[in-house]
Amino acid sequence: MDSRVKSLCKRAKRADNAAACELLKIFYADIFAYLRRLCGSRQDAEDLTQQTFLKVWRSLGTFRGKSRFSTWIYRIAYNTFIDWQRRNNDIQSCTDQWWEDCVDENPGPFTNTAQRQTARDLYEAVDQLDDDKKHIVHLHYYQRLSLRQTAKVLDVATSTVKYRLRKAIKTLRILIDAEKNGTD
Amino acid sequence: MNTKKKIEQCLHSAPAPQAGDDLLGRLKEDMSTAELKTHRSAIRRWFAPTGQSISLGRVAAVAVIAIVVMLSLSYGAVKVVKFITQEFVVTYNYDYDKNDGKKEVSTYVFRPTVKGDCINSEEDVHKAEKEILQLIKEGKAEEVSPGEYKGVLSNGGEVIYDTLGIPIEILQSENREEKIKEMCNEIEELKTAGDFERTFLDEVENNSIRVYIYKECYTLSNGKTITLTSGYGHKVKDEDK
Repeated sequence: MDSRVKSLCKRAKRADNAAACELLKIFYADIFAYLRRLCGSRQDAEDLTQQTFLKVWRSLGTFRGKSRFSTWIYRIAYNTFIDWQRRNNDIQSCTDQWWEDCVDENPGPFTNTAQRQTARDLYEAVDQLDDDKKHIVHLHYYQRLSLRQTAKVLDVATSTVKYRLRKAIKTLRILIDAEKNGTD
Repeated sequence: MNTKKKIEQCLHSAPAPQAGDDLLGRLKEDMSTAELKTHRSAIRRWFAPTGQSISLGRVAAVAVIAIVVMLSLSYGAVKVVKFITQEFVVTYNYDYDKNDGKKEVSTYVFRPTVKGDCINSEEDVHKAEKEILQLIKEGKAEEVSPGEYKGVLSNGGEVIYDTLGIPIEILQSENREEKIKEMCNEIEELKTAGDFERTFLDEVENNSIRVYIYKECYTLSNGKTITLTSGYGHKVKDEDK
């Protein structure tokens, strides 16, 4: 996969539209999912995905292959989101109805109602994390990027990612416990 | 549930939103209208005032600090002086309107860069530039990437000449200063009108000055797209820390 992406990227840099189209097909769904979860609105996520890819095409010449192409795209998507968030007065992402519906349909490893509720609480708790931790959870867990890729997207050290992940999990446990105790 | 493993398992299996059917179509359309740009970033460092009501002194301080921070990060503090004198010259002129105490006008002058082991002084830069422009004209310099040329000078030294996106015909023309200035003015007009695209790149902080770095794309009236990096800084208030 990686070598295919590399080759497509090389061709796209030579203004080969077919190769760029292939790259688009490979990455657009993941980028959309990433932005959709972050901004909590389909319309905004679609707009941000479009903005992200416009930037990708316009700056493809600057991509030097020092990181994976996917990491580079995520970095652009992340910056696009941050920019959008700032323009919208630091709007906070929130768990919307879509998330809640999805948890019902796709409860992951949890089968009974109580576990589904806990999963929903967990996803809501992620939105309550501070931005540094939240972005790491989104990239590493939701988008399944490696620790190294996550670090590159956020432009921080891998050790920082590990540290923030530990802190994030700890905070999530506290938040879920609090929720559980509150409902008991 | 509340073990680390279970939380991680649950996060990993979080549902993924599905993109709508029409999104791919729109993205493809965007791609054809955007055109694939193979140009690299044209102007790499360009710090501009914020346009907000801040003092002239602060703007100047932010610009200086931003340059030092950026260059330190990119090239190492040792090379800062070398970089400024040999590769890149930015001139800032701040015209401060004392009547209302708010308005700030800035003009910019930027120059292409020449890099190479044989470059040791400002004079070398000018000589090398003159020579490589001639080599480009004669087709003897290799365009290693759009706007960036590699050539061997008469003294045997190899140099890389980065035009920073300035069209080569402007650089070769007699009245290049005037033409570059015109281009800068046009960029300034577009900037004032907000007619450009901006992408957040990074945030750096030093000595209580926080600088937000953006990539900005300007499309000039001749159809050329100029990409530059701008830093907008402000003094960090206590509550921001």
